[in-house]
Amino acid sequence: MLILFLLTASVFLSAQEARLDTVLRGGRVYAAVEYLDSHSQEVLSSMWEGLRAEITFQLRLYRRASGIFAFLGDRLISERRVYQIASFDFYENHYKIQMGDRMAGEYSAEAEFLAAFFSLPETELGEVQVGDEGDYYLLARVRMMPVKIVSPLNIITLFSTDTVFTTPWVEAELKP
Amino acid sequence: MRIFHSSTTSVGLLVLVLIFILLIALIVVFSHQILINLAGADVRANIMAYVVAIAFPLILLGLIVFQIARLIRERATRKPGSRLKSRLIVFFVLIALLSSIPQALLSVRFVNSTMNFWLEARIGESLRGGLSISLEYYRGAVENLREFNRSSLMAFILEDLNRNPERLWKNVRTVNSQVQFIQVFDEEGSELLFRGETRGRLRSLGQFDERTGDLPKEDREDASILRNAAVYQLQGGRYSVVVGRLMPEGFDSQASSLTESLEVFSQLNRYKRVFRLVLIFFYFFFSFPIFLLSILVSFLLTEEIIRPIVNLEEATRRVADGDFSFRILSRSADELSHLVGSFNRMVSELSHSREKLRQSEKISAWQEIAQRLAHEIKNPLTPIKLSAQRILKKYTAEAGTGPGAAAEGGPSGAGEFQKVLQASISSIVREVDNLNDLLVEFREFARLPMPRLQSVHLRELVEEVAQMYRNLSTDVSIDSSRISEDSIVRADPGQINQVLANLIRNAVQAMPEGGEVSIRSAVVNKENRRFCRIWIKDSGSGIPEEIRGRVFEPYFTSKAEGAGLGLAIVERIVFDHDGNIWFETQEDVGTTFIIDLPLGITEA
Repeated sequence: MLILFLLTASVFLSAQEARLDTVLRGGRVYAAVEYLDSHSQEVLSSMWEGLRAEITFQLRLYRRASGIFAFLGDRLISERRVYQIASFDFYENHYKIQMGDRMAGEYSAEAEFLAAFFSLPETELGEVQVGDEGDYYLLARVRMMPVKIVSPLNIITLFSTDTVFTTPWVEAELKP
Repeated sequence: MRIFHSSTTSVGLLVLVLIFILLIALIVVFSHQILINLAGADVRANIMAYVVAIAFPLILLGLIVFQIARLIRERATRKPGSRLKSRLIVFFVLIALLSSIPQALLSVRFVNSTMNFWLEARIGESLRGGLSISLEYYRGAVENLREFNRSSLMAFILEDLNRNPERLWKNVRTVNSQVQFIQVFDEEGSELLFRGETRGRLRSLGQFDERTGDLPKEDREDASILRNAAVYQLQGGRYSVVVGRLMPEGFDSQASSLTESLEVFSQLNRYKRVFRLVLIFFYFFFSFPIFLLSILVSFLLTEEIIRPIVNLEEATRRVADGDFSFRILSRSADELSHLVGSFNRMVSELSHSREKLRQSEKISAWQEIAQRLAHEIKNPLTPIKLSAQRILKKYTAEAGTGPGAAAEGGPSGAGEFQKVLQASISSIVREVDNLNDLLVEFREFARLPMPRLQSVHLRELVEEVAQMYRNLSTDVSIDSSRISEDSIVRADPGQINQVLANLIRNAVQAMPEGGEVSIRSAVVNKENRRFCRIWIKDSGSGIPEEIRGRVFEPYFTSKAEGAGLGLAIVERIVFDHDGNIWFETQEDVGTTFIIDLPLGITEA
């Protein structure tokens, strides 16, 4: 019953969009993702309340299956998840973005901060064989929490539909 | 003999304990997974926990449905104990509900109270107030440096830059004690002066906002440093002056904790309604399997409780139908076990009494017949014997005194007749004597007295009889060495002597070619009583199968002589002693008669 609820909830949560850009340089695949949302005000208000926001970019590089084993599905070549946590520093009076353990940037202007927070700059995802680029494609999705809920409060994310916004998977071809 | 087992199976208990431990482990793991490790917030990462958390109650539910279906079938087929079982299960479930409902209410109430306590408005106000104070302090410090570094007083103090740097530093400290260091750079960025706290010293001065002059706060492990820079035109030159201070030790960490606490508090406050509902949901989610388990346990326990009762009911029904061979075994040591023991003893005594009564009735009937026979036959026997003897006497007398008597019949004819007469009369008298002996045995059997019980040494009795037969028969050896000297039975010595004599005589007679009679004894426990068991074994030809059932019947014998009362008397005496007798035999191997006699009291 719980699983059914969770699956249903995840479908309802998938109303947002994301844009995925891919770049291929010297056999290396780079991807940049942008979250096209309407929740920037919610992020800003949570910053001002002293709360943090979290955005997760999930990237997958696939190679298309062909031949007799095609029914097994496409092969996952690599996967990356990048977390960004945003907060507002009341002492310094600016926004801060943390990526993993390192500080990614400090912004005084809201627009500048939102643009940085909702986008993932070019990130290396893996290598492909030169010449076979057409066999590869990328998928990306974004999971955004205007309020990064601390443990153990985060169990409410299983039930509350307005705490997490998840985009559907966005696909992009790998072009030479 | 069919036997019912009534026992608390340790396997069942072990299974219950294992299920309970498994459930607790699952709850701990799952709750940990849910409450602690959900930060990743990826549902798939917790999929195993969800599957287990859902599969386990489903398995329990399936088992319960199976048990309920079985109970319904048992009730439909009117299986003994099914009604009692249903009632007990309902009671168990009610008890589980009655105990869990207040517990659930208490827990929900506890969660509500705790959350209300922690989310009390004044705690939020205090946190926000603390943050405001620390912010005010911080901004005050920044503002102080900014104003001081742009004041006309500072321009005046800086006139001593080249003339007297020490006075400059002294004046700075006098005017603004919060300033802990000063650093001056020339137009090229070279340091001209530094005075004060050395931790505040910059290697070089980078770009800064000339409007405010605020430099980014430097966070070091041991301190955080505030700086402000301003540009001055002095004595024809352009100088950058940096003043700064160190924030109090621990300010950063405390400010950070305050911010984090406020974050947690704000979240709790924002999501308290949902969080409360989620907690209550998980409480029931975790306690539901425990409730299901308690129902399952009630099924298993009920089965254990009613099994001896059902067995007793079944056994009682069988006994009422006349089958006394039922016994119930119990390995436990509770009251039900005592009840089962009492029932077994009761059935055993009932069976024994019934057998004794049947035997007594049979023997009494035979005794009645024997008494009547003795009475009816005894009376005419004496006149028959006397008349026959008188005929012989009269004839002998007359034949001897009358000379003509012999002549009339001829000497040879008279002599022949006398011979025949004498032989016939002797035969009549002998048979009458035999009949008389038989009647004596009848009378003995009919008037067998009740035993006068006393504690007697078995070995002495056996030795006395064995010695007598050792003297009578040299072909048969009698071994009585395996009767312990301290074997004491409660018996009438005379009657037991008769029993032993009968059995040993039978054994000796069963071995006309010779052989060995072996007599031994041992103490045995039977149905909570102690007996002295005596084995009398011969190596004869055994008892033929067709007559084994009639061995103890009165007037039955396989021998040419005897009235067939020996073993009947033996059986009667043993029964009168509250004992038991039976035999084991195999043709061409031998026969063993086995007697159980109650143990006597050992002399001190």
